[in-house]
Amino acid sequence: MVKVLLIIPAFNEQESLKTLLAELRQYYSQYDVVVIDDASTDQTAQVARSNGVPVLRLVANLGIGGAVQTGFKYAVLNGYDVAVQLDGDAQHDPAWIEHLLKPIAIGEVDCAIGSRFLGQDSDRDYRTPFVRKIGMIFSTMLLFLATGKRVTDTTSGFRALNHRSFEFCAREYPVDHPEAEALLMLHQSKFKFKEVPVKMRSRTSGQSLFTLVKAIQYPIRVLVGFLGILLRGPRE
Amino acid sequence: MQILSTHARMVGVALFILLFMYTLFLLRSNRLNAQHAMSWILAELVMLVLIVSDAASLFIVRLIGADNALSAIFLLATIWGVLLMLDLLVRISDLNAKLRAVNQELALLGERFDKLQQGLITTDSKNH
Repeated sequence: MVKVLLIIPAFNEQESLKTLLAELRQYYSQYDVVVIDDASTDQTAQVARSNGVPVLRLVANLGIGGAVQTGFKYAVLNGYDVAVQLDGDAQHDPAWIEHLLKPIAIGEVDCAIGSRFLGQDSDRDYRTPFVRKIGMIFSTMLLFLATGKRVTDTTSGFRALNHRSFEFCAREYPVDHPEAEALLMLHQSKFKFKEVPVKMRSRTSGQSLFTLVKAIQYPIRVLVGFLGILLRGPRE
Repeated sequence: MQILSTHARMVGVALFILLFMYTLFLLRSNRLNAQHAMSWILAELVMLVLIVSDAASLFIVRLIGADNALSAIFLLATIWGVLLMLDLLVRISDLNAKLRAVNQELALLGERFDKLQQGLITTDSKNH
């Protein structure tokens, strides 16, 4: 049987995490879950522990990239076959996990990305904040120029990865806003990925880490990050 | 040709000797490690030579093609400052990567320790 690990990075998400873990327990009790508490100042770790979920508690805040990478390292150490990353803010609807797992299970790709904007049935219910939208358009363009692939939801952190690709990400993973850069790294190292249409929910509690200042920095940050990856070349 | 007046030269030498002594003090008290102190001490010695020796200053002026010794020294100091900042950024990035790895390892070990305490795994088990 395929061992699947659901990786949930969380920073001050005590309220959303309760809902998310309850949903996962109800629908996906066959899968293991690990919460990466990114040095939260609220009860995030306690909420996870009280739900019987192992917690990897980071003593200093590493940001989403460092937190997710910790989850990949945990998956490697514990011999999982597939890792699914979903955000602790419960915006990623767990109902779509099976859709992400399907292309991995049949060996079609190494990484499946949940996209809000794919195909005709794109997620009109999800309201993308304006500042985030600008960053997404920019990273989509850059990724297309660098890889020739059109990815509709470059900032989606709702992903499933097979063992080979999450083992790679456990070794090499970008730090801040890592989603688009991670795709470029995977592409460079000949990993196959595809997008799968999913629906996402709007945040009900907690605060988005994508602030106006970060949104202004984001295009330059992505550009420099892409440049670094392209200059380094493919990694083993 | 005298580039600096004797007075300016004496003030410059006194300032650089003070700076040099302060660098040695930082090194001695372990607040500055040898690797970082090296570039500072080297730069201080070069600046001291340029202040004391007209021949060295004129050599730099001719090498750079500057109008006078002061602008040549200013240009050199600026280039050195930029290189130093870049070097420090490289060190910060390196420390960041190490800190991240240590932090992640600590989190993984913490989780393993929790499991050991709860008796869910034994000390010789690799996986849970």
